[in-house]
Amino acid sequence: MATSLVTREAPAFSMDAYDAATGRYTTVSSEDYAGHWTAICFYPGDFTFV
Amino acid sequence: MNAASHTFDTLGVKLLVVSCDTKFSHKRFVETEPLMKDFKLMMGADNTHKVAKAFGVYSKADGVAIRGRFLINPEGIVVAQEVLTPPVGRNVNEFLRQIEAFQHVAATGEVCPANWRPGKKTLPVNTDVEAMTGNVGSYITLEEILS
Repeated sequence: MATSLVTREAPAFSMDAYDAATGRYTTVSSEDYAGHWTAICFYPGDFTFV
Repeated sequence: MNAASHTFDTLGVKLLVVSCDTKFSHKRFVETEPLMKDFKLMMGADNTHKVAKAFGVYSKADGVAIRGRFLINPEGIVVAQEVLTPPVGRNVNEFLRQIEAFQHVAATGEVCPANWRPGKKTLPVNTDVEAMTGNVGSYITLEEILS
């Protein structure tokens, strides 16, 4: 497990995505969020709820 | 998160939720689960686990991303993170409070003490460190912090 990322540059990423606003498949990358306040939330899996 | 998405919009914060499921699973989840009826967020499909690993939230034992949230400023620096084990959910209100505090700091250079909320007292810009050392109580009282 990595140590804290706080104070460090956020990792670059690119991955498949589902845009629930449009109902379309797409891709997202860190470049889409450059220059913005961004919140990234990880969760264990679809069809689970806590 | 979704229920509060209007507040995130107002604060100018872009939201991305990520799990190690495929995009096909995400679509099915949103379409079938009644609780997801009004869900409108972008859902990253990290089925290769690369992104969860990069952020340090990949659980090899379970093959899933554990509950981690990260706040990244416009310069691309992670300013806050919270990581919880799967059985306990997060509190979006505390996250919003932190976002407002970080944005206030970025805009003003002031320092937000414990429990700060918009409208509460901050510590001043360009504080004289020598004058303040051991003397923070002259700037803000415990009652003001705890209020």
